[in-house]
Amino acid sequence: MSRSSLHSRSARLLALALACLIAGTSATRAALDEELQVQAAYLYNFVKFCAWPDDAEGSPLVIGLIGGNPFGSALDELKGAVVKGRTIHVREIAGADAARHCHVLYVARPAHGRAVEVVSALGSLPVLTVSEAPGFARAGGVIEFAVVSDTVKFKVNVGAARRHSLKLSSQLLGVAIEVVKE
Amino acid sequence: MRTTQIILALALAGAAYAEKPAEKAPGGLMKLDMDQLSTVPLGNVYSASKAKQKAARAPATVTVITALDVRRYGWRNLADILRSVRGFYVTNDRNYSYVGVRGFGRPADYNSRVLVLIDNHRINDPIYGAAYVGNDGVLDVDLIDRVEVVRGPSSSLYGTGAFFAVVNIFTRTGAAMKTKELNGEVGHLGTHRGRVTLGHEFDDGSHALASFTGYGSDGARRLFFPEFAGINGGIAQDADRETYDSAFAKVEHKGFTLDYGQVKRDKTIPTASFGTVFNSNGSSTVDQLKFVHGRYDRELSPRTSLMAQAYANQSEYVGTYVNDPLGTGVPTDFVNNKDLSFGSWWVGNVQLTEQLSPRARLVVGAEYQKNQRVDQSNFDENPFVLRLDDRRKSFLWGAYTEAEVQLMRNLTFNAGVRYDFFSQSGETTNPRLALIATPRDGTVLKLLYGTAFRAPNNFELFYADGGISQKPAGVLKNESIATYEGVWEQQLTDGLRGTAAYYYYQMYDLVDQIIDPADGLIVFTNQDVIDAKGVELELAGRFPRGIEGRLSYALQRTRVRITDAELTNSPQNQAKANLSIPLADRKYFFSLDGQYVGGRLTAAGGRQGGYSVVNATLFSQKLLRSMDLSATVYNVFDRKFADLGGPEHVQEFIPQDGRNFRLKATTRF
Repeated sequence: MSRSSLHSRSARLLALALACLIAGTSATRAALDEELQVQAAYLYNFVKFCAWPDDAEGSPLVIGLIGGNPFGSALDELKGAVVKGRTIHVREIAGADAARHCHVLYVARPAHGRAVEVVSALGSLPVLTVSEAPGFARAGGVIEFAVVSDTVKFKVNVGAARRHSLKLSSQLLGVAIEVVKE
Repeated sequence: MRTTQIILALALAGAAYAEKPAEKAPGGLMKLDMDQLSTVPLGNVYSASKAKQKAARAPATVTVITALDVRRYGWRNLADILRSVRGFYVTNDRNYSYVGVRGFGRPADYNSRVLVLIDNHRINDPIYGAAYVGNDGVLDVDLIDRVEVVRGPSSSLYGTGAFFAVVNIFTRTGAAMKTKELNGEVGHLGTHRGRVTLGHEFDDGSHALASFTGYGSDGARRLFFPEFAGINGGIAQDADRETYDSAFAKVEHKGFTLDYGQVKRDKTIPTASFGTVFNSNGSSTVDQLKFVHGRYDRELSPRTSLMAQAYANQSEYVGTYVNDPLGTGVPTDFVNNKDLSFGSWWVGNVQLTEQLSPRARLVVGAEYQKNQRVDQSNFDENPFVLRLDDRRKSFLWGAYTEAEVQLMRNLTFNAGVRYDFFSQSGETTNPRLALIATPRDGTVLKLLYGTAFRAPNNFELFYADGGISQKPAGVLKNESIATYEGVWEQQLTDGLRGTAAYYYYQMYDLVDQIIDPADGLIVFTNQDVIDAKGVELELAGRFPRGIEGRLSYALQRTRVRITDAELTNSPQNQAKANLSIPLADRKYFFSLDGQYVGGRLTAAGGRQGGYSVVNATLFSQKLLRSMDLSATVYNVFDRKFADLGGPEHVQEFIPQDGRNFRLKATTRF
């Protein structure tokens, strides 16, 4: 087989496959970003391995999202899930005021700029603050996501957890790549 | 060819038209615990485009090996790692390890057809094109953060030698450098190894690390080679020793990274290669490599980033070969022949990556390499006879670009091309084209075409030993390859991913040794076209309770066009299995690592049957608070197997180690 005949065959093959692909593109939806999927699964684990002062069976457990919901459908499975007898609710919230009624507060990317402001507005209220904003844990947030070696890890500020009257299990602290004492 | 094309087309069509499956439950990761979540790869790779991208979007198929894989499977060097990678096989001649890919594995090619990078800097030298992957490798595998293995031609980005694959080893970075570790190992055959690694994080967020490793092994005390049955009963006694020491240091400060590495390995040759005296244990090779590499990354704007790197490498080889020119077998008549090389080269590389729009990215770069010293010499020690003193300089430069354009939401086109000019073998231009589709969530289809080249190295061009066995080629053309590939990656369930790939390549002007009938001397020449095709299948799974595994099969067929013969050392079938199971609440990992290498044609025209090897490791990450312990049994079933000898060996087969073990403890302080 000469080089040129191989090229023409390959061109035909490419054209055929291209046609198939274009034909098959109607039934599609964008894949979720893996990083956010992992973060969502972490949120579920954080709820399991954190104790709130108002922990009581039957009461709702609210995860608040500030700066929009970047998770898309990744959080759907969390909605209505029951952990320690508490049903999880997921809410998008606008500002620090609404955050006071959350158990978990996730500061999404559009709100990174005001992450520190939101955290300090919460004072010592029992809210588990979580964000991937760089430096979040050192700035007083409780849990900060960080991408290390192409995996999602997290840092914990145990001083901040104590300030918010949250009890984090040793399992959670054991997985953290860094424990900030504040 | 036609049948396979039709099958491929049908497969692609089937994938595109198949019924949409029931909506996958979102958040399948919710089932994983935090330990597992912290190891879920995000699927980003760098090496396929010299830019960060999702592996699914990369213009090649990429396998990523992590630091955790290295620990839990008990891998000792890069050769061990690559043995587990789909479609790769390693041939060991009890001195060097040669990587085979896609059915192509030339013993004695010093891995010149696989580009090995450490933190994006080229390791292959200009003398032999060599990148050592055994214990002679420059980096201790414990310092690896991840390894990206990019299949197929990548000369469109990297130039010479990115022929069958690019293996990019990333060392620990950032917070992972912040450890102080002491590591000790013992193994059978009197093997012992120690490592000390000291890392620090400074207040301004910069990091520094320094690491030292020392290794020694008696090797197999008695190796039997039937070809030498007339000498000491065919036993090579105490002729398999190996020692090495290596060092690595790295500093990261803001966008700057500076790293330094070195290795020196000394290996006794038990095989009486190159016609040396059998059972003398005086023949050995000493290989050294040193490098210093600086890199600067900066975001010039939110859309534009700059990468500049410069590095200098130095390699030195001293071979001692005990000859018996009179053939008396009397040690006083033996003559030590010294075979030496020295290489010194530096490279500068600048690259801009521009996100032109959310749908288009452009990479533009240029590279210059100066081979300051490429020296080869050979002499007999006593009496002194100079057989070779070849000193050269050369240079090459290349310019490359790659564009990635999202044509539709689920269709990406990637095109790259690189021009190279090499002072010794002229100019060449190599493209790579990729069409990547995600017709629906969980399905990735890739059509890939690319060419690559390998400039003949100075060993092939200029090596001679004074008319005893080899003469210089003087002039050789670049070796080149054109590869066509179709890949189908399918998410089968939440945790299970399947890959099916088909490739076809044509290789032109293979540089290989022949014996010139006119004078009986070995000489490198450009040879005939080689055609090869293959199918690779892989399942990779990540299941609840931390169980992970990979299973792959490769079918490969190679053919020398003019003779219609299969290539030597080209197994037609290969299979790999890796399984890691956490035990006792993830305190332990029990891991199995198995490989099957199918029958291969030997240089003498015989056929070696296939062999399979299984290794088992028990690894504990948290047995003691700051200590990792691992115990590995290699070749659990004590299978007697051999790799194929190269042109420098009398032996058709070179026996490999039977069952053996290693105990390893690493403590952090």
